Amino acid sequence: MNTAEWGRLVIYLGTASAITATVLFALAAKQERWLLWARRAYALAVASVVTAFGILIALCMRSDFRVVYVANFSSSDLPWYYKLSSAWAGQEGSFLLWAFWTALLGLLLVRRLQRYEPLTMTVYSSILAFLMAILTKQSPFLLYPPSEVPPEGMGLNPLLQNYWMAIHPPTIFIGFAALAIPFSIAVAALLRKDWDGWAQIAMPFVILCWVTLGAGLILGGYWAYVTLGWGGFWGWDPVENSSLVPWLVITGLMHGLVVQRNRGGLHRSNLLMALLGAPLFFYGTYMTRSGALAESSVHAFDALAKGALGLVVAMFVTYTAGGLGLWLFRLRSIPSKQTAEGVLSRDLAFSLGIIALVVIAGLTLIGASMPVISHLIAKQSSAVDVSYYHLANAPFAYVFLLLLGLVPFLSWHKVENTDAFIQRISAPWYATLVIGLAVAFVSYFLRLPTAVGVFVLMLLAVFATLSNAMLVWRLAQRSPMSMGGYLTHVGVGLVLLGAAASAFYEQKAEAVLTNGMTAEMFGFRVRYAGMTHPDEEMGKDNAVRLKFESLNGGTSFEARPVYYFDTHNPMQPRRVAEPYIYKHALYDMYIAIGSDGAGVIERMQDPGKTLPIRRGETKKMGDYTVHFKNFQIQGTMGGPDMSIGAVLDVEYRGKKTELVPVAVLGRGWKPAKLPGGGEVAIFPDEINANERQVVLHFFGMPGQTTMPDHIIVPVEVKLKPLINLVWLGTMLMMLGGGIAMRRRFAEAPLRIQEPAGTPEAAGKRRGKPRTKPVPGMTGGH
Amino acid sequence: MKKAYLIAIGFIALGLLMAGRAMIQTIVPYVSVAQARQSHGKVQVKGQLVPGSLEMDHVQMQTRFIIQDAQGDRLPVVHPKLAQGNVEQATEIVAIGRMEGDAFVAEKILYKCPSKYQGKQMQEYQESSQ
Repeated sequence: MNTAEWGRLVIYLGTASAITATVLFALAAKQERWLLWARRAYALAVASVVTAFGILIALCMRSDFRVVYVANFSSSDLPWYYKLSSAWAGQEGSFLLWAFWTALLGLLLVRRLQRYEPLTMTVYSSILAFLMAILTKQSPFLLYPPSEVPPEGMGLNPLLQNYWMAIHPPTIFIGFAALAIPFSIAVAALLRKDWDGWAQIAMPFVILCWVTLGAGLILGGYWAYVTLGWGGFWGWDPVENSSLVPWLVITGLMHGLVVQRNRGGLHRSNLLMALLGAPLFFYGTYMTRSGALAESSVHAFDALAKGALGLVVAMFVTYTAGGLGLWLFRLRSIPSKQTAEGVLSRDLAFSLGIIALVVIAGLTLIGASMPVISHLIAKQSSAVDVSYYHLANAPFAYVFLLLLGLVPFLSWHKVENTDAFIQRISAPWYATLVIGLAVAFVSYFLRLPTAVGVFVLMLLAVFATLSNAMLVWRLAQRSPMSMGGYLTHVGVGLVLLGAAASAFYEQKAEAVLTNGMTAEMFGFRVRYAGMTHPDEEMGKDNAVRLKFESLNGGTSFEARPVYYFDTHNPMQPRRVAEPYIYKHALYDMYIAIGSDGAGVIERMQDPGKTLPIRRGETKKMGDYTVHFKNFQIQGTMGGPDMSIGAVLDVEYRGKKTELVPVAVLGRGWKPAKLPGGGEVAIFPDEINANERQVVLHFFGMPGQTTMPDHIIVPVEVKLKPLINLVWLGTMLMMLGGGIAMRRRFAEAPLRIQEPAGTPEAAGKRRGKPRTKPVPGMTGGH
Repeated sequence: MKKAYLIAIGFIALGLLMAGRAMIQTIVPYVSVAQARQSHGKVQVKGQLVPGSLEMDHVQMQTRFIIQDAQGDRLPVVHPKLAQGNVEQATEIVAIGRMEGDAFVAEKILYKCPSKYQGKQMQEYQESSQ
């Protein structure tokens, strides 16, 4: 038996033991004696998943192309870290990664559950069983028949060949896996009719889920920004939405649990949110991997195999119906306590904030599902434009940001006196107004674009940032461990401010450059200075060298946007282009090569010939006799749209044709087609108005041997002000989340009383019950 | 107490109303070429790239091509940008935009290229937008 066959075997073993664990944990809920065996079965499932993942990694590292998966996503010339990454580059691998984290998180979970263990682990093991069953239907360990084993793998998509590929999927899949934890605990709570204990256990895991999913989303956004070249970090793509929606719900749950803990309310909605997180992601998985949204997503997931897809649907239906059904069934017995006591109370602020988050999640979900919904309702598929997400979510985002700014000044237990409250918010409020006025003045004098909606959004973000920063400052001196939430809020304010400013004040400039030709953009003179590896157009990691010389005494630099041909498939070389980002404290200069430039560069690889010619002259070039009749000028004189054409009479084998190659100042040119094939072009930098001379470039003529001396590079530069606030904000969010997670992991077990005669009797719990979390098992340490 | 609830309900109702309006404003139906010709608003048309019709115009900075839908109807498309990526290898193109005169002006195009990275039959979408 070879390694891959062992892999298939352990997948089956894992499936069987996860199912066994589910059954045994369910039995243990009735009779404690089953608990030990349930844990053993779960441990076996974990061991199988870890082994399976280890085998897949080993196969990828060894470039074993007998395995279909490895041949599809790896090749022997990859460095080790990309071989490693190919273990999760495809469908099967990413499901295995999901199962891997689910299994491991279960080990962390099981030790903190105490009396919740049997029921929670029943649900949790069943989710693991589903994932493993999907892997039996869509196995990463399929083998080629011996006669069809390819000699070399297809390689990893160059867009994925980035160190983010080693970081982003492993991170975000911890978050996806962690979604199952609040779900499982909530189901156990509903079965046990325990309306508060579950919240204590779930809290640290909810934060863990929030941090990992959030970090995954951020890393994905940053990855898109630095490699994809369209200049944004968030595109409301279905795959992005399918992670964002559960993350927003988990954010709501996290805050709901805080309310429950402090005020003893929101029992019903907290259970509901805990029950929605995981099914929402199952739904997203179905939508993005079934091909249902294939026409509106740029993420390249192929449809799952039929059996596997059926299991994903079954998974979604089972947990949605089961969770919601149980919740509805128990609804009347769940206590419902009024918490909000007045308009100016933290209770109301939290509740409204949670509503805003959940509504944003819901509207996003509806938008993303529109192709399917419209097909069901109107029999005609429709998708929403990206602007839908901005328009629909905006009112809720405004309220959300306002609340974010008010929360630091509200307290749990009392309704604020209006005057005192206004007094307290005055500092950040006036600071915000001053900043707002300054921005308004600057916008007026610099004639920046203005829009009331964006302006209000930015001011609210500034307000939220300032008021939370004030509180963070105070807490940092008194009790740093309690500042996590507010630090996160500062981060959220900065992210939204940076996102709004960098998109709204973005400026764009385009130019087509050739050898010796320059363009001016954003105070720089830009010049094309060759390729980093001039001799190998097809060479990997080749880049275009663009010299940016400052016109006003600032720093000059050389931008090197990546641009090369990937030739793993020699029949169909593919362009790979990645932007170059020039970082400044106040802005990013985002420099992308229109990959289409490639079209031109390719053509320019054709040998070309040059022929300087004055107006009125007649010259010969190969089989052509060319007479330069006149200039033909269009557009505003000296303006950016001014184009100069050279009217030529071309005689070829006794036939005369009039041709007009055109050059546009500072932008490019349009060649004219020559009779007999080939093209003739003039370049703007070679037009000599005084001498009335142009240089004709002939391309694609028969029998040419010399290389052209012109390479053409279309450059697109975007100036993105304040984008660094986004990255700074995301770091603060994660730092704040990390602090909160550490705090909750450290305190949660202390608060749960161990009723006498619970699973402990069944023995086998290592360590002393609940004085301290067992070292090495808490995510916070 | 009552006041707090009223605020919450009023806020949700107003927000949802605006969201509904946003949905109506931004919905973009998938249509055939024949339907696209009759359309006035924004639509998306899917079709195959007619071989040889792709033209990159570096003067006007636009990409022009013709797509052919499942019924065999052909539609000239103008994308007011030099498209990124490997459009010429596209097997299928989704153009999102509106009719202007006889041509379809696509503010965004999604195109599917045969991708060897995802196995033999797999396809990969790329995107270019203004």
